[in-house]
Amino acid sequence: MGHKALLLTQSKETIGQMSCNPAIGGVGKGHLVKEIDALGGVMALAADHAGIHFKTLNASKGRAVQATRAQADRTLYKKAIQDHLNSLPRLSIVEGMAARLIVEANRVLGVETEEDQSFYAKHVILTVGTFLNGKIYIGNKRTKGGRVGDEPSIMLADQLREIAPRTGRLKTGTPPRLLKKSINFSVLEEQAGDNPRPIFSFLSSREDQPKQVSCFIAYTNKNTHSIIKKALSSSPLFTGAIEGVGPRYCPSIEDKVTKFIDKTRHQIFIEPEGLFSEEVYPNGISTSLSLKNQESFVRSIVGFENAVIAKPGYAIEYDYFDPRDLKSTLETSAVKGLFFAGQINGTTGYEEAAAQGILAGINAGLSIEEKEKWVPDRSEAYIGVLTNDLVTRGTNEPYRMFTSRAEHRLLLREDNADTRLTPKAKELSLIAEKRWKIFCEKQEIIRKEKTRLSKTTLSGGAVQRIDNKSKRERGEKTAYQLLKRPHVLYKNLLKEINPRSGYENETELLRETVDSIIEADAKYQGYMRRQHNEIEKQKAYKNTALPKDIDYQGLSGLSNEAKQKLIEFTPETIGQAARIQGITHASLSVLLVHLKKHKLKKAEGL
Amino acid sequence: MIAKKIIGPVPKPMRAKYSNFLSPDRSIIDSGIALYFKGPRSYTGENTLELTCHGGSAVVDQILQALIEYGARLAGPGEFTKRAFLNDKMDLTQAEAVVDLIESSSAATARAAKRSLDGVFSTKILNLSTLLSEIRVSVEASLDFPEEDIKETGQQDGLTFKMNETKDIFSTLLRQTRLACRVREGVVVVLTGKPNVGKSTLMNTLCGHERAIVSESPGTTRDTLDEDILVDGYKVRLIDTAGIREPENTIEKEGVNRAIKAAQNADIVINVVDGSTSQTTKKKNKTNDIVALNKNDLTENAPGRVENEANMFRLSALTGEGVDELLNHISNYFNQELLAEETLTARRRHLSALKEANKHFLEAEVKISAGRTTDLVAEDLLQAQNSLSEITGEFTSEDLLEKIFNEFCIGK
Repeated sequence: MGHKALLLTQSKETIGQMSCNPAIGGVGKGHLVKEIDALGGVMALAADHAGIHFKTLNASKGRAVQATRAQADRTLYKKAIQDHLNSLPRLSIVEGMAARLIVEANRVLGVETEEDQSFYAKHVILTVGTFLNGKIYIGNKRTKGGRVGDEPSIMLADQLREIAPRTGRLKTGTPPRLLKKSINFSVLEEQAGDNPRPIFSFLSSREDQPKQVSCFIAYTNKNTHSIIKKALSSSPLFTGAIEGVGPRYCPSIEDKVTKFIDKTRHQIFIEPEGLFSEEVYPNGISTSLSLKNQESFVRSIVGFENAVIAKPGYAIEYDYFDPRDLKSTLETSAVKGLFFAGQINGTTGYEEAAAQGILAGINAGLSIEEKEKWVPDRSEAYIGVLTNDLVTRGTNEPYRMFTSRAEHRLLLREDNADTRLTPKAKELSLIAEKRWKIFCEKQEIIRKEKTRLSKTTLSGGAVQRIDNKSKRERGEKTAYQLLKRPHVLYKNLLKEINPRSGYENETELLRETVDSIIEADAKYQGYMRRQHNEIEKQKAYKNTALPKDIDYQGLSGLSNEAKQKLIEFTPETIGQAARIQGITHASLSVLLVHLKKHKLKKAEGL
Repeated sequence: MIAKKIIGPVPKPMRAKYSNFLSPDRSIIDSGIALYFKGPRSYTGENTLELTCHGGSAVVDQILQALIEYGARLAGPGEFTKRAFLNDKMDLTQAEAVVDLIESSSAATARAAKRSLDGVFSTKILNLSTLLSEIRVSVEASLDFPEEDIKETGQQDGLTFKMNETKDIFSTLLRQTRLACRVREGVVVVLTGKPNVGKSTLMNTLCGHERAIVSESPGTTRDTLDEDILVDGYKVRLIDTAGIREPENTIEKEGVNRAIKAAQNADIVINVVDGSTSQTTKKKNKTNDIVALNKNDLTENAPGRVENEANMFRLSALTGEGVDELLNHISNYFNQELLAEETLTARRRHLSALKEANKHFLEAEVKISAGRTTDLVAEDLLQAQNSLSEITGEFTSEDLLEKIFNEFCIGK
């Protein structure tokens, strides 16, 4: 967008450091990464430059849920991010510990550091990660830290609690890092990356990706479980020393073992930390047991008998602020110009944080330009689902993206993230010419081909050759109609009709991508059209504004719970109200009727 | 104003005035009482004129016709009550009794439906919803957590079992709900048959029977197309297709259209046949069709059910013999289904939501057997749940996630 920005961080060296597991993407998360890329963000590019193991998840379960995931070499990732940031002409990076926000008349003016420096800006975006009042737990030892080895932010935390009083504590954990050479890989299940290798960024090619390695899979066993059970008294999670709420879906091994007693084994996904790293990250055994106990249970695992713990696993507890106190752009309602993004809003995951970051950044920029804000709709992007969920429903556990959160999942595929968002990015001046050019070229090829397919009619014989399931059919069929059928493959279609013009000039990657999109679009067209119709129908009533002075208490048709929720959340539209947990269709109808009466009365001058 | 056109000078509010009701050509259609209510002190809160005239549909028709010509229009169903509600003359509770009050959302109907749900029905629906969400949990968990060791919990067979169970419950519940709706709204019984077999006579006899209660006093000349009667307490709408003729004006036209539509959706068809001739009886089209062998008084046969035929009756509309058995049969139609369970109270909205949900569910089933991709199956199941939630209340993605985490051990 061309605005000047300052990145204030405790340590330049740790920019781009992955705190938890060295992986980017996954189901839901991968979708976010693609969208960030479509908007000109850097995560996907970095993941491609650092990815040493790529997989496409859900490959056979349908395009809408297909997702990309990459294990990243930590060093390469960090380097990719830092190189990119250093290349931005209008970005300055300064080291310092943010201590206090400079706020006047409910407007943020800048930031003061512990080193007594002051920086002034029209907008401040806080992306404090897990550093606010961060406390680290290993067994019974408790230290203050934002990440192992990094100081927590305490002063800032105190001030923020004054500005945004609705706050809570969350927790997340990591497993112990193990020394690679101390593991017996020969007895473990190997998992190589996918071939053909998926690519994250719309701009990358496979040549950008470094050397690839395999991942391995191990399993806990009954011994492991009994050791853990015996050790529970030293686990702060169980003694209640940690008050923060953890995520339901990333429970520590302690949680897993106590909650799912019948399971005889739990899977461990051994992720490489890097091409030249001596450590591995055993995903699936997050823990905050004492070091000694960690050693015991780790060594009970087949393949880990001689494992050496390079860094112990730990739990971290941190402050977060109720995201319902934010506007849909992630600007705080209390202080103008101040944005919160990332774990501070109660999310977990690099991807979720990045999605918020880019959205906050975009809106800060739009605010400077005095243009209208922009927030993608739930039907436009997972970023929209994410922010909308946070801002209207809030969260009481570390929020992570899942595809089931998106009611318009069929519209939000990974492969159409650019179609959905890049034109907007262009409009808002978020992307470079190069990306736009590549995008347009791809779209043009696709458009031309779709037109050609719609105009190409096939003989009955050709139809039967292409669609081996078809019986004698009446009438002419176009190639596109045929392609819509679930079992018809585009490549078989091309055997009958010639490949598209210019095919020879396309790079292999482009060819592959275009083929894939044409196939997917044809198959999903019916569903997508239906979804769009639904959305249109709902738009009218969803955007109905709720007046600020509405007296919910006085609406007799509402249940007490509904009244309480509406007063607490203060939704701006019916659509927002609909997203609040506890607001049923019934409550909405009462609101709609009230609004109608209101309108009627106004119209009659009452 | 329209009022002036029909009755001349408008009387003072709340004072009954004996008036002549005038047609456009200034002739007197009828004379009766005119009562004027000035808003807001009226039923709807708006200015209202009530005309009380002499009985007889012809007179009422003419007055309506005149009013339409003066610029009025027929009110939509429930429209007076709707206005009363919007003008704060009654609250939602009171207005709830009126069908389709609030046009803007089926959500409103859900509220009413929810309110009127009684124990048995709501329990069944909730069970169905729970089963459906369990199926969704398996499907969604496999989508959002593909790398997890979920197969260990032996999902696949369980899923097929649950799908079949859900399918059965849907089908049973639909059948019961359809019946419950009919009980509430009245079963539509249509009399069909060639001319002169005695349909109209049978119609009159049924309406005049001591077990039937009608709105008009018995013996009134009947040229109506349909009649609502209560048979042993059950609402029955009798339609005589003999009455369907060329409409002469707008009022008649609406009536005829309604009758034709209702006949198309008949629950029971009574095919009236002249039993005194050797007419061959038509085969039943639907299980609920009844054949009435009329004019039994002209035969030697005993009246009543024909041996070995479940739905064939010998009767005489003229003398009344055998009509009791016919009424028994109609009455039993209700009893059979309902005896098995307690009375379900269900509204038509429940039925349509249930139908929608079932449609989506069956689509999911079809996709599964066709080997379609899981994301599409999940979509159909989501739509099914959404339809059900119009009855039970929202089941959100948060609820779904909660279930997933409770059931599966997931996590890195």
